[in-house]
Amino acid sequence: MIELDNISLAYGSRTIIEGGSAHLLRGELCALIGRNGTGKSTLLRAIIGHLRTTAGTIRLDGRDVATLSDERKARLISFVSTERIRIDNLLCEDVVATGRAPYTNWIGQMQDADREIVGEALREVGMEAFAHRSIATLSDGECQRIMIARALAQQTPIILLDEPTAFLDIPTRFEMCRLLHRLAHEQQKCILFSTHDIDAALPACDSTLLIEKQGIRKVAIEQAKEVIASLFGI
Amino acid sequence: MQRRHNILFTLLTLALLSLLVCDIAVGSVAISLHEVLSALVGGEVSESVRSIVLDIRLVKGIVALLAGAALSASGLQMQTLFHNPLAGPYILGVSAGASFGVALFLLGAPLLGLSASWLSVGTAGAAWIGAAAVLFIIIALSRRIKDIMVILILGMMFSSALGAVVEIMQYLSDEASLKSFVVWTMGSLGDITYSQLALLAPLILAGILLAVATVKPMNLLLLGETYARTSGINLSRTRALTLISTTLLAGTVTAFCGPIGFVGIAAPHLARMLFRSADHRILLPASIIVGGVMMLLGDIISKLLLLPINTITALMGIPIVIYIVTRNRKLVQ
Repeated sequence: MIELDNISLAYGSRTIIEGGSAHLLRGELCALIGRNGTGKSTLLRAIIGHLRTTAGTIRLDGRDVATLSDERKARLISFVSTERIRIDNLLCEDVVATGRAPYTNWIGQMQDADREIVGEALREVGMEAFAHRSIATLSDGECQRIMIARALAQQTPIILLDEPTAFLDIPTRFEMCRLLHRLAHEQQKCILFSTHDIDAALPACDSTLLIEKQGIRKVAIEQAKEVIASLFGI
Repeated sequence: MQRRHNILFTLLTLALLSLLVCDIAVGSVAISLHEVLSALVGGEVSESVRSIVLDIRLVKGIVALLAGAALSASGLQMQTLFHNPLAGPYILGVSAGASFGVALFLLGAPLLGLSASWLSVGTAGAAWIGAAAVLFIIIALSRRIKDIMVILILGMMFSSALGAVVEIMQYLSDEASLKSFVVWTMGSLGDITYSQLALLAPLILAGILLAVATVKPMNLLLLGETYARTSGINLSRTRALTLISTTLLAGTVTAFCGPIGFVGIAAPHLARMLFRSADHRILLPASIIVGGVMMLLGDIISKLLLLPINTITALMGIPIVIYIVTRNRKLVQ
């Protein structure tokens, strides 16, 4: 689903990645791991097409991301950022409903089918009871779940998440990773998330993507622990 | 929620219409509400009353209503676009651009030897061109600059620079031009005729239609630009449409009425508080009506106290803005 074909990335004048390749499949949960400043967020931004590669090609479902319109991409890939959404008077249900944007008309009118999909997405993340609560009243973990529900409502085969466990307490981190595992397998989605949380992530993942010394390396989950240990010298 | 919204829309529309009637009744010649209504529906009133109501005050009332509506619609768009609750229609230098145009025109007018009627048309035209020029420079820059905060800062700096140039021009100008310029900066709803209204109304309507066309992207922008883009929104097109809409709304109002502060910042906040919604499909019409109500109220007070409209709207709007800031809750991401 996500194909990195010999890509190079730069942040300003600084080279982040040079000639990295990897291939992620449908139904695969993959953790993107690397030290601060190695370019995890930059890579994610390149995959959603908000940053051009300086060389090489990123393909989503076989299509070059550089040639896809924002509208077309919105049906292929959804994104969950680290930003916390705190807006008065905005109900969780309405936040999830924005995931339907690629499918609704010019004024964003929801049909019955859209409302059903929103309800289903809230159930998937166990947040149906929060539908009519304001997003501003939620805890970080709850808010994160709502944003994942939003990504599910977008019905894309690929989901990217930027540090979904960052602000969560320890039990919620494990829960979050298990939720992502379940979604990848039950709904056959390709899910890539960046994280520093190796303890919570590795047991749930199918593979890891390591960024080190401007290279990208896909490591099977069985070897991940050893490789990470030797890489980070821990 | 739906019911609350319907009730509020009905009440606010009634308030708007009654204030319009009151606004027509108030003035240097007092006219009773009964006479105003008769004149409006074509009943029996004296010829002089009919003429005051229909030829003079109705235009003023409609202008007040349209100005309030336009500034508030533009303020709502700017607050969402810049993720900033203190943004308003003038944040990008619309009023600075308009002031620059007017200052240039008023200083040059004595040289051209224009008559009084041409003076008011020329002032409006110069203000409009000044405002539009500033916004088009910003639209052009915003296609190259990704970060919306940089655009905001550029707009504010640009507007301060123009303000400084205008001050130099004031310093160098003669007394008569200086006075006409200062009077213009105080704002006025009074000098507009039907023929000018025929120009003002369609421009504002076009701006509001553009605002309606962008409600879906505006709703998505609440979550931030990354979410908006990954939801399939064309960001640069949305920005351009919103800025063109603000040119039409705020630029036109400023051109005809002078800079009118705080209505555009305060009305969207009042709309949010009353309707308890973040949905632009509700907030846009709500802001438009609340803006009209505020402006009519301001006009009535300004006529009763014989003070310039700009001072009244500032004194009305500032407490609302202070309340919003001290309440310290995030309205947009």
